[in-house]
Amino acid sequence: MTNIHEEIRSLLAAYVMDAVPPEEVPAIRAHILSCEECFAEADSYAESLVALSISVGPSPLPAGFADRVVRAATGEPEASVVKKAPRLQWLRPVVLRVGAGLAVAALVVTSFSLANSIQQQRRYERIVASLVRDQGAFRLEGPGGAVAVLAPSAHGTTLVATNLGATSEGSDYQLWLMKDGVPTPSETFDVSDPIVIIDSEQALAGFDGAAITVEPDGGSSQPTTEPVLSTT
Amino acid sequence: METTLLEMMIRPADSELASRLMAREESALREAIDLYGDLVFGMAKRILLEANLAEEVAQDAFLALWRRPGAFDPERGSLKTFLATLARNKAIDLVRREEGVRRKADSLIKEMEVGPDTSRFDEEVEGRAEMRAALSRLSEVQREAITLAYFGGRTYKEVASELGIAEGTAKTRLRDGLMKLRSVLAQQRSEAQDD
Repeated sequence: MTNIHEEIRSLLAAYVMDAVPPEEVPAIRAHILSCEECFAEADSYAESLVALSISVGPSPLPAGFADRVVRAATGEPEASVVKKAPRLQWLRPVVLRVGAGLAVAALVVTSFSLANSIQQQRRYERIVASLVRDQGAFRLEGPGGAVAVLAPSAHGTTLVATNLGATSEGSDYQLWLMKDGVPTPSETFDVSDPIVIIDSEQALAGFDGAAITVEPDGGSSQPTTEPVLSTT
Repeated sequence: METTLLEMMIRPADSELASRLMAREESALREAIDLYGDLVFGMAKRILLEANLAEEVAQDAFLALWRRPGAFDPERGSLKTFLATLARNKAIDLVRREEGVRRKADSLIKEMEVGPDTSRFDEEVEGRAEMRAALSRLSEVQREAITLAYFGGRTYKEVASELGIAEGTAKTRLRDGLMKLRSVLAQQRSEAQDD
């Protein structure tokens, strides 16, 4: 145990700089979630990363850059906000991606048997925030303090969700990736612990939002219920 | 309660700008580009070198901000560092996807920027002078390792291979470097609060 702790501790700086090979990331994340000392050390590097991010010399933008960005931005449909959509209106025809839906993608679900105290729930929320600090990830929120974060990872996407209650028998949570209001089915999962972490090979690039619904066991090809969490 | 440098750097105007982006105000996007475009482009160029690729990455960063303004949380940091990190991550993704755009180690290391800088940018980018001063306190081997990992997109194993050192040494240099940086920044903060 101590050896694992020391080994992972030696990798924390590389981890926060995204300089760890993808295959080593799940073990580091799992350890950080259960080790206050390593979580604190990883968290303590935040300012150092800020220092690196603004240590670079700015470079004058090419002429017309702002106009090009604004044209590209305003020429596209606005990002859909799932939670504001009328009931079931967001259930547009689904474009199924080969290999992407219904948990076909390689999937690792890691659950942690941690006590479900309020104090720990708050800690998990800090962890969720720290894992995606300034990463441009999707943050999903729902009623009752449920929070999830969907972040690009070196090997695909990582979903971290907290405060999701267990689904009823015969049903699972299902993640949907959104593009212009159209949901694409993604991983299904159940929740037996206060925090769930899912590493998927499905890339986040190209999507502009995400949502989580409750679906029959094994998932659906299109959503059958309103989202319980959706992009903020 | 101790105020972190991160908190000290948060511009009150960021919250207002974020609200306007959420309201889909085009002028807010232009303002964000005007304020931070040079920094975002500079970060992308630092990693990719090639101007056309850097412009694509910078454009992607601002489009991501426009499409998902909610991803920026003013309570967790400044818009400046959010955008710089977004540009860094997008550029690193590109480096990892396309081997051809990966910069050579010696070229990256040569560009290590430390110490005083008399360029106008120190004044334009709040906090940059302090950050560069902090980086100058790292040892050369720590800066090399951090430069390859942070700006070169190398894993610690690749850092070890390219510098011809053991993997354990690469991990130690990265860790010691970030710890040193953390310590210098804490010292700077303490001195700033005493003034």
